[in-house]
Amino acid sequence: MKKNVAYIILFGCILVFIAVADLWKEEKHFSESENRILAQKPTFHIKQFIEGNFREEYEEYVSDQFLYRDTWILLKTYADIAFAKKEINGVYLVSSDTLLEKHDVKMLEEKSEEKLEQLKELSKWCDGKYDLSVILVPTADEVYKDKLPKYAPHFDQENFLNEAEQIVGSTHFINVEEILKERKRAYIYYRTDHHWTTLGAFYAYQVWGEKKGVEPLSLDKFTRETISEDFLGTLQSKVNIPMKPDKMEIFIPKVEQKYSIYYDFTDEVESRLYEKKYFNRKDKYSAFLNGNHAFIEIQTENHNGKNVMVVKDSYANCFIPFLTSHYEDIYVVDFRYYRGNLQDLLEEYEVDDILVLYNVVHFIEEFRY
Amino acid sequence: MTFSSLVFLFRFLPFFLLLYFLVPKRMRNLILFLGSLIFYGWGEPLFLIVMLFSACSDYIHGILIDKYAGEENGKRAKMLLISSIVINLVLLGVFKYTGLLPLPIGISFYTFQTMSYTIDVYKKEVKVQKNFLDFSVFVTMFPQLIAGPIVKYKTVEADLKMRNTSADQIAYGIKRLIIGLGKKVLLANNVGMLWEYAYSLNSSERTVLLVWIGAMAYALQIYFDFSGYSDMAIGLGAMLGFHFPENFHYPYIAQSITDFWRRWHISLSSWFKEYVYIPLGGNQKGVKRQLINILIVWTLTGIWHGAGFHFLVWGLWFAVFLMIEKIGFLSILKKVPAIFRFLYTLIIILISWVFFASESLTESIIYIQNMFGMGNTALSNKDTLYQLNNYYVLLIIGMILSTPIVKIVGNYLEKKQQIIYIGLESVGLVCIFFLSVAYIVDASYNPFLYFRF
Repeated sequence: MKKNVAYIILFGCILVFIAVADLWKEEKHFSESENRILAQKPTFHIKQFIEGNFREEYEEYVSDQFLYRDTWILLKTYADIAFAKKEINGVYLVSSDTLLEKHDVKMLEEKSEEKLEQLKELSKWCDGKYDLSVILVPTADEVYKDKLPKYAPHFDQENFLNEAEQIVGSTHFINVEEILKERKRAYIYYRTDHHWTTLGAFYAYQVWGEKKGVEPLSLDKFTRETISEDFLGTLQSKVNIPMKPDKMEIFIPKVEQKYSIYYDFTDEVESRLYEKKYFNRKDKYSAFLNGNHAFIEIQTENHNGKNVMVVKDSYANCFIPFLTSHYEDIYVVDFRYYRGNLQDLLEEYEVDDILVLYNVVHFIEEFRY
Repeated sequence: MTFSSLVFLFRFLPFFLLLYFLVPKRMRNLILFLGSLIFYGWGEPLFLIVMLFSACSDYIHGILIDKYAGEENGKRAKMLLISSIVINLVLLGVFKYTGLLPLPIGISFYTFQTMSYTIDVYKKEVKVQKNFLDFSVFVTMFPQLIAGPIVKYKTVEADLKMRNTSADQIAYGIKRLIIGLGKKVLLANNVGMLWEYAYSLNSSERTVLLVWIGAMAYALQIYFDFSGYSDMAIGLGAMLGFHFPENFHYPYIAQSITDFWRRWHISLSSWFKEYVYIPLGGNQKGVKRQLINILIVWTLTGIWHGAGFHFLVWGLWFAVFLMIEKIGFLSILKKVPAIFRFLYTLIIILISWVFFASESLTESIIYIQNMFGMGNTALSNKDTLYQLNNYYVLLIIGMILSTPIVKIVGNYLEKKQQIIYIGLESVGLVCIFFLSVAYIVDASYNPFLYFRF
């Protein structure tokens, strides 16, 4: 009897306390960890209520604004760990400070042939007209595949890269897989994000230089500047557990360079390759070339008459700054945002070189030209 | 509203309960009625009309049946009973089987409940309910409104008029509510993903091992989902002072299909037993007639679950084994070791769930063929092992909780080690509650990764 009264008081208090505290709390506009605007309290209209819209909006609002939302998410992640789940929200928990992204292996296997075919067409089309280079960067789960959970599905990127190399020919294919695997002990991928680090991109740049017959700047020609020591990337967002944050660096050539950068065909000129406003924000990777843009034109002070069209995904954003020492004009196109095609662009912007730079997964998911 | 939502747990429930216990006892039915209208109307404002129509119809039918029940030939009372049943079945039929209109949640449950009332008034097993409020509380009361158990009018007749809420009963209700919530949110939803995965693959990508653990995952999902809901309903009912019937009794430890149907969705099978099987003669009119009755009841049970042909096949699948058991297989079963009885039952049940869970009969047949190695060759592969590696803890927990082990240990502890028992129980319940809320909140967690690329 006494025990039962205690139960009633305990759960009555929990229920009422959470309910009242939740009604009372201050509402948030933006969630840092989810990097999105949260739903706000909807206004009641009888018409919308009958149609069910109000209910949906209100439910979304209650859960978006729920008391200690991030803590509940954290609790759920720990429960998943206790259930011995190997993946949580599409992320493998490799160790307490390292996450790897899970990819849709079935989709990758299904689409890889088609993408290789497209690459073949591009390579034929370029033949004689443009000097094509292709860099396909393996993702972290390929480089660290030994750390994946037992039996985890894995897309064989090594094999895919070999096929790609055969298609475009070894003079045009810049294989960065070997160097990244060789340097896997170095800090070449973020632990909490799905991108490679600037150091990873630097190693790829060295291979690019060798292959292209230009002298790449060596490490001592750069000032390495740490722009953030508390970068928690997209993979951490998915599980929301406390983790040791990543460090983010930029490599600035010791010999000063000046740039004129135009985004998305506007006349506004920018002079920085790195956008400072992102240094203190959640999405720090957007600091490189100001995030993703459909089209970017970078003019440098190298009057060498060399220019390049980079067809790319976000992995290129931290790689492109290395190219600025070698070209006069760099055009960057991201076909996920740019609706036109490469052929028309090349009629407008005359170039000698074309560089295709994607990570393997994005390449298979969405390469087009 | 569903029980496993933040709006129910932290908006509706606390304020409803406070109000319910603060008002004088005689006003509790009014509060419960209004609360139930809000609960139902929140999700289905327009379908409130359907529900209230059903309540009014059977309220009036009840009064009229009672009025004419004294007549000598009883013709008018019989016509009125038929009218009540027809109206309910037409409602059910129009919404559920024509596919023209969206399905009002709970309609299969409340039409069956109100039918139990008019039938019992006709049979003079219950007194007519002249108080409209009391009657509509019976029809609309939110705890069992949307997913059962199907409460017969006579079960709650006394509670509707006068009910006491003791601290013991409220505490019991809280426990059942939390346990039910945990079953639904922590177990059913999670283990269900394994079934969804196995079902989503093409025949050639599946392996024998995967389809079996997939079917097991579904068996656990539907059991914890449905019995979790019943637990929550029974718990909420108990908090409000009602005594609802149990709906499940460890169905997966059944030793035969006959036994399984005494343990699975008890309120539905007992409804059919009382209002269809026994009126048709039950087992009193010879074996042949009994087999036909079984066939009828399980055809109806199948159809009750939905319009899909696969539900009918699901019902018939059970009918076949019930009939086989009736004509002698049951006595053979009794002679074999318990493990064989158990395995036979389990395999029949797992196959039945494939019929039940698939979207069409064709899909289910392909899946069942895969279970027996047809259509694919591999017994297992790396991917299957990965799934197993991911889900084995949940599967094991699910299997253990499908048996009475926890209850037996609990009862033992309660007697011998009361302090430990109370400690474990209270800590356990708090953990289950908080973890459930965490999973509910997480379901809407949606990191927006526009900087993903």
